[in-house]
Amino acid sequence: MVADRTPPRAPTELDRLLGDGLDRYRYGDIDGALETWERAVAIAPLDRRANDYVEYVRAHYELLAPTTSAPMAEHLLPFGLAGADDSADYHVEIELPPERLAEPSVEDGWWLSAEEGASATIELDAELPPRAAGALFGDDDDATTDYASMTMGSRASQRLPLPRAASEDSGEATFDNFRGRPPGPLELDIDLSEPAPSPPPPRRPNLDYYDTEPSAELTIERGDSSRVPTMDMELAPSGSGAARGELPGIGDLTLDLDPPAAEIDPLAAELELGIESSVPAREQPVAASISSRFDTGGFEVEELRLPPPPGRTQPVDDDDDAQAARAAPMTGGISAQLSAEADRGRRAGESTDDVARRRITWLIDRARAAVTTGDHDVMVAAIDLALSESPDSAVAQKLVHRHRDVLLDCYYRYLGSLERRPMVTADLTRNTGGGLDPRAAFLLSRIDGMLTYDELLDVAGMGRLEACRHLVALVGRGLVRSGS
Amino acid sequence: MATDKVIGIDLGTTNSCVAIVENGTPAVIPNRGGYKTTPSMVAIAENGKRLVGHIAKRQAITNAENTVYAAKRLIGRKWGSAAVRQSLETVPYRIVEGPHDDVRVMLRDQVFSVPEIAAYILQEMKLITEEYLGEEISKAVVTVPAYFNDAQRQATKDAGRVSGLDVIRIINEPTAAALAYGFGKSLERRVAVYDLGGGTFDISILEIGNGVFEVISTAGDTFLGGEDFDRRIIDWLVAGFQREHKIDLRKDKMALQRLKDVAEKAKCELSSVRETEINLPFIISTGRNEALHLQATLTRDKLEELTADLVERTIDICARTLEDAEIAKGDLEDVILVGGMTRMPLCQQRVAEFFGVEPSKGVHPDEVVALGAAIQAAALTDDKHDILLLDVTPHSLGIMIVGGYFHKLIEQNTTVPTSKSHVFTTVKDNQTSVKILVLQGESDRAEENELLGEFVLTGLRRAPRGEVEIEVTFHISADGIVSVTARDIETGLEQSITVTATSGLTEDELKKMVDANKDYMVEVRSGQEFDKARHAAERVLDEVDGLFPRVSEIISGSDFGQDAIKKARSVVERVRAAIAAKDLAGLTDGTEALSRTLNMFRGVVSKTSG
Repeated sequence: MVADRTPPRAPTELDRLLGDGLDRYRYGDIDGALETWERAVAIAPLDRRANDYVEYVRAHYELLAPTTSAPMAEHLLPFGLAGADDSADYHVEIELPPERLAEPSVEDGWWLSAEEGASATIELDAELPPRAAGALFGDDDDATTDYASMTMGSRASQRLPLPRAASEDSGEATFDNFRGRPPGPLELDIDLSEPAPSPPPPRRPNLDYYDTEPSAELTIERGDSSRVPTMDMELAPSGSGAARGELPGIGDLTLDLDPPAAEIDPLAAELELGIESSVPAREQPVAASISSRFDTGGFEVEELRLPPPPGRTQPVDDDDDAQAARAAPMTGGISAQLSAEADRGRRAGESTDDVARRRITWLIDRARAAVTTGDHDVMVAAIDLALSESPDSAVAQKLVHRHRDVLLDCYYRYLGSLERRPMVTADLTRNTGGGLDPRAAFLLSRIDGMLTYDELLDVAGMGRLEACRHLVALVGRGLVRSGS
Repeated sequence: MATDKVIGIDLGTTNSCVAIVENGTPAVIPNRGGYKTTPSMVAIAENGKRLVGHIAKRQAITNAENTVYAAKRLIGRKWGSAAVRQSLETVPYRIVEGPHDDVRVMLRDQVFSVPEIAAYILQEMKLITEEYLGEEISKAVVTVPAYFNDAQRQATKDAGRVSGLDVIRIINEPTAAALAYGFGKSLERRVAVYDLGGGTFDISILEIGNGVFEVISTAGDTFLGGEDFDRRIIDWLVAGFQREHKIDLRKDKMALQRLKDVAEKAKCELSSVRETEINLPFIISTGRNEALHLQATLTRDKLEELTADLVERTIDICARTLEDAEIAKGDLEDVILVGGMTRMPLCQQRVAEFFGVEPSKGVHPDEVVALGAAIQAAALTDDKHDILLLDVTPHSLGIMIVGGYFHKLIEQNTTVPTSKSHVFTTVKDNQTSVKILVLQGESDRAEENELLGEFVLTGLRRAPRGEVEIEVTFHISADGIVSVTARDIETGLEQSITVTATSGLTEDELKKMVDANKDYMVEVRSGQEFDKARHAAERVLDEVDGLFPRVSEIISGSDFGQDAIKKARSVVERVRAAIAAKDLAGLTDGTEALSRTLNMFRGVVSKTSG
């Protein structure tokens, strides 16, 4: 006979019921979970979590009711209990002034949806940092890992002299932060896409916008919100695909348009801008952030704040999408391309679930193919897109769950042998790493040089798929490397 | 093939340690991570994998309900015992009632006996030794607290058996500590062993002389240790964070796990420095688009302020123990410090103040018990070592008498072997039989003590009450085996019982556990082998897949080429099928064939490229 460990008390009983329900839910026992949560509601009618759980399961009962008794993946838990805050890319909403929405003009630089209330999205992503750069994160004072949205391309770039801008205490940011980065272009991919699930018919972008000589602004600011001067950038004449400007006290920056304007897929509704820094490394690090603002369209990009210099408790950006971007390896360009490819087979009149099904299936197949060819960046980007696809759709969640083993296998292949021991390459207490999901930070804190990847995933305190996703992102950001 | 080497294991409440004597020198064996102690924790991961030691500790809070720690407090205990009741209130994992009033632990719907849990820890220590020495080990001396009763000792032995170790001797922890302390010296002195570990506190007084180690008295608190100190630091950090951010970090398991880790680290650091920085970046999300960092500075003074009462509790127990044993502080010539917590300067200071003598710094507090066990192990296997260990009975022994009272025949802390008799009479007229209930414990009420066994002496002469005299004799051998005899003095008729300690597990249950553990280990090892083989196969598969289109294009024009491609496809399918079926033998064969295919592919490509 099995006896209960402790006599139930009201709050404990509620927690126990909620936890028990989650366990049942995770193991596919939807009826059991619902019943347990209903009991939780009965003893605590005003408890929001209990009510949310019951409401969610009732609303999605038909989809959730299992066909097998296999455990559900952690990302199938409702309400973002685990991993639901992971989406592939960092999205910053751009509020467009109504008049511009109503009457897009040539000065907009590109066409955006004219739908009222629509907003566009800027996706800040970058490529993987070069693995070979031994000094990249070797120094505790190195703040380069702070740049969630920016990494260097692997191309070499010339260094230009740069006068030291301002002291750390002045509140002005400098490119000191980039100390330790190998010379190379800093790339900021800006993806203008429409967030609505069913986008309106795309309109052809104005490919001649260079003729209008619009300008762009790049703002660099410290995590403590003190701003440094913004920079006006002139977009270069059509064809060159570049914009240049000088950031006072910092140096020249170049914005590259990628792909060139003439090759922009009108259906993709996105543009990528690479920012190439001609700024040399400096010795003293300052945690700072970079955001971009384009005054050509009259809209602003929200600032991407990065943590302040270490030494005090300080809030950092924790936006769900930002978290996801941080968790996700920086494969923005690839993501955009994959996303566009995933939509090539779309049919008219598809429902949201149909879209999710088609895209996820395609993306998982693409990830599997990429594994075979050893194209890990594509694999990671494809899985990330698949996992981020329609997070509220039960169909999407079921699909992902069905392919859980495949996805895990892809991640395992990315990590190499799971018997290797991961090593942390940066001290987060000194270098706050450019924003980090607390769950990723927890995973990072488990790495002690003793545990293997496999063991690390066992102690992650989260589902294996979510843990893998964070881990791959950490490896992608260069915060973790494989040891022996 | 197992060697004759015998290891000494300190099976601790929070940490365990293994040592061996080699070439006459006792030495602790480090684990894979280089640490000399291993957390006494066992967990079952989400995928059913068993986690033991360091890895279990890394997830102890995030997987709290499936992680067993301090199982030592439960070993050999009955469901209704005070220690079990107290554990029920304090541990997050499920403790459930087993058969025969026994205690079981439930992890992810699997029920484990406590000796099984202890067995996994002992097995980890065995594996650590085997990896280090490169040879199989089958025998061990294991230490237990001096107050452990027979059932607890037997349960520890059973744990050894399940782990694949023959526990050739159980010795008391303070005895082991004194052994290590006196190793290589000719000492004659009375010492105190102050043992403040991770989960328990024990104080023992020992007499050492002429190679004889005798425990005179022992006492302690099984719910007082380093964990309590950690908890105070966590409370302080949580309170500070809550004041600043109005967020309770305790509600987030991951945050709490990090707090626990950092609290323990800070506590250790403050034994050698005056202040330490605590940094936990990105500890928690506020839910308002913010993640917060925790940063604090903890000074030694603050730590002492937070934990002074805990240290005082140990001193109070010391005072009571000396008083009970009627020993003056001045009679003690040395104090041996055992347990990591004794590194805390406040502990050392209070111990020195109380005993009036500077504690001995000659032994390593984390290792001393295991070293002592190893010394004893060597003594048992090598005739040259001449060490005699005299242990004491941890609890009083006696029988139940009329009115439900407990009559002690052998007092607590009596040195064994020992024997004692007492004459009782009948309590009723014409009473022809008496029931002897053999009990162990300190309460005057029989029902509050532990029943070790019972028997009935029959055939007594019919006589008025109080006339028939029955002599009851208790005998405890050097091995701690208790035998009780009741004899009718007039007729010489006698009846006796030998109390065989039982851990609560039957022989059948034990055999099943031994087999199940062996099966599990075989499964783990074969799983590891399969994973290795799969990784190797996948590497080759990837390369073959990559070359396939080009090779097909080059050679498909000939019959031979078509045949080769067909065969190559078949090999690839074979390997994939073996991976899917988790067929190690098939995978090994298939990978060999696949490697040959790869060589052929490479040859074709290089020839055409050249």
